[in-house]
Amino acid sequence: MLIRQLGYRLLISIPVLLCVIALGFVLMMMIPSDPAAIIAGDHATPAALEEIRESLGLNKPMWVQFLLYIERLLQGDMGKSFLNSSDVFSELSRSMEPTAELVIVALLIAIPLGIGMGAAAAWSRGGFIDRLVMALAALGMSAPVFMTGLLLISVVGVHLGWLPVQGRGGPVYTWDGLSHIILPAITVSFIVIGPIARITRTSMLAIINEDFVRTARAKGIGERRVMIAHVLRNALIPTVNVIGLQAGYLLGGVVVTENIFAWPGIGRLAIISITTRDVPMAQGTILFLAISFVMLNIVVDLIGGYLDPRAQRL
Amino acid sequence: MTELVQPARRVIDMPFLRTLARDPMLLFSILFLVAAIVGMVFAEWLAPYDPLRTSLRFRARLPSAEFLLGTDEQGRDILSRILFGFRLTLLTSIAGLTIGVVTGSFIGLFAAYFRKIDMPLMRLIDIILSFPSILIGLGVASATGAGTLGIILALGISTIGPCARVARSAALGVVSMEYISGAKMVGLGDLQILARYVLPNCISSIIVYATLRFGQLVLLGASLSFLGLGVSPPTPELGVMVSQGRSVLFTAPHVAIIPSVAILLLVLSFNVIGDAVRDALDPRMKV
Repeated sequence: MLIRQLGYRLLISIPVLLCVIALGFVLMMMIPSDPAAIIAGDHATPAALEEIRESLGLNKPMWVQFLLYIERLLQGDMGKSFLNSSDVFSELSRSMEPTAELVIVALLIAIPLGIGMGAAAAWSRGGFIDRLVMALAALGMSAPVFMTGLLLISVVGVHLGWLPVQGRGGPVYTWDGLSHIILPAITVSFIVIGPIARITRTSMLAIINEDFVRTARAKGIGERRVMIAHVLRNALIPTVNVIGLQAGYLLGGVVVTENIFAWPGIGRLAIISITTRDVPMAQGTILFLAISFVMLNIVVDLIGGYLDPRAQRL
Repeated sequence: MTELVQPARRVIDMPFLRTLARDPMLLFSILFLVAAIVGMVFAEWLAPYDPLRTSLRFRARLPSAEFLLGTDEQGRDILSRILFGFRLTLLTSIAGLTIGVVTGSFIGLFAAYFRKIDMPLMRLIDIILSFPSILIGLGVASATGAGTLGIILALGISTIGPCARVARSAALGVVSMEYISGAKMVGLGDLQILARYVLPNCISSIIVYATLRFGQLVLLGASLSFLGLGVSPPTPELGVMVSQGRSVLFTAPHVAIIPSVAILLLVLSFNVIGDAVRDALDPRMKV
């Protein structure tokens, strides 16, 4: 099943990526100006222009251009930015690391906190902690990302003056890097803590009534051990899936957060290039985000299958 | 044409008012939503000031008796702008929701009823679902340029996929019922059966999904406008107001925070009401 599921995911990712590529191509075609003139600059001779058109295949039929476009993409050639004629591909690879770093640190905050909150809520079902956690989760799921970010900036960053609020510092293991990433990572983590806490609580409550839990209790295992080794461990499976399902929201939150904190990642690059009509860069970032999203889903499927052997056999 | 077997109607068995009294959150959410809708419809009469009139003298004032929610970085009354902002935010979300829910329900119902097109339709839905909504928003914005239309399209397209799945799974339970084969036997056409029997029996699931989805769409729409992909600045829109307020975040944080709180309350109200609607109409979905 797992193999089939993976195969299916890979299979539908082909039309998905083709759609994104086609969209990028149409965008390129829709630009009223002549790409060759933009690349050549203001003082190009007609011969030089013709040469660039020839090299880009701009005088060939549309479908040949589309195939050429795909060929260039496969070679990692995504064109050059209209703004500063930097290479789109190398710009993207430069922005990839900060974004990955932000997501990983955010998940390192969100997963333990969310699971812990959900487990505590399930433990005190109906009690004060349960209601508090559920209320916080509802609040977190309704709060716009920019509100969390701006509140953190104005309270922790400006009012208390504890942490820097703009840009990225050095490597994350130095204080400079760590202090820069704390606020944006907390902002991103707020998006997924609520859903993780809710699903952990729900699945723990469902598992508490399973036969194997009763058996474990009957064997005389302590309550704490039953909860952690038997209930929580099995409750983690839906939690992993939920993180996968939330990946879309996570991505949206990352884009907003990067723009608030001037974090030099893909999300910031995407918004800058779209709002300045820098088409090659915009289509590059969108294609890149689509590919990462598809791959993320595949990884989540793999982890889910590893945690839950039933998913492989079915 | 007589109806052979009457499909079961779901009844909301708990008296509505008693539910409200027991759930202050729900009561608050309904009151806030009613206030927001009244404010949005009658913004021209209710707004104490012109939402576009700037004033250098009253820049970035804190909330006071004169300006109930303070003024923004250009001296415009924030309360008036929020009332007008509700209008744009809510109308955008309603338009996007309508496009998405209608298209999605059609696809879902057809997929469940006409078994032959089930496979291709659902594969199509899988493809749409592979695009996270923010990516649809970015793609549409880069194709059409920034604007409300782009946001509506993004909200609509991102709703089609999940809604089609909800509608399909609800309809799958209905199409195997006896009254459907009964309706076929008496010679009703496929479209008639879909409209008279399948849709009414799925509609509660679709309504539950739509109410739960609405809050997410408000959030998504506000994020896209915040990023500068929606309406351009002077127009009062909640996301744009927050984005504009960032310029004075260090000196007057309320300019950005108050419209954010308005969005938070709006989304929270929709989520709480959505949960209540789900509990009332579709108890099986209760988490």
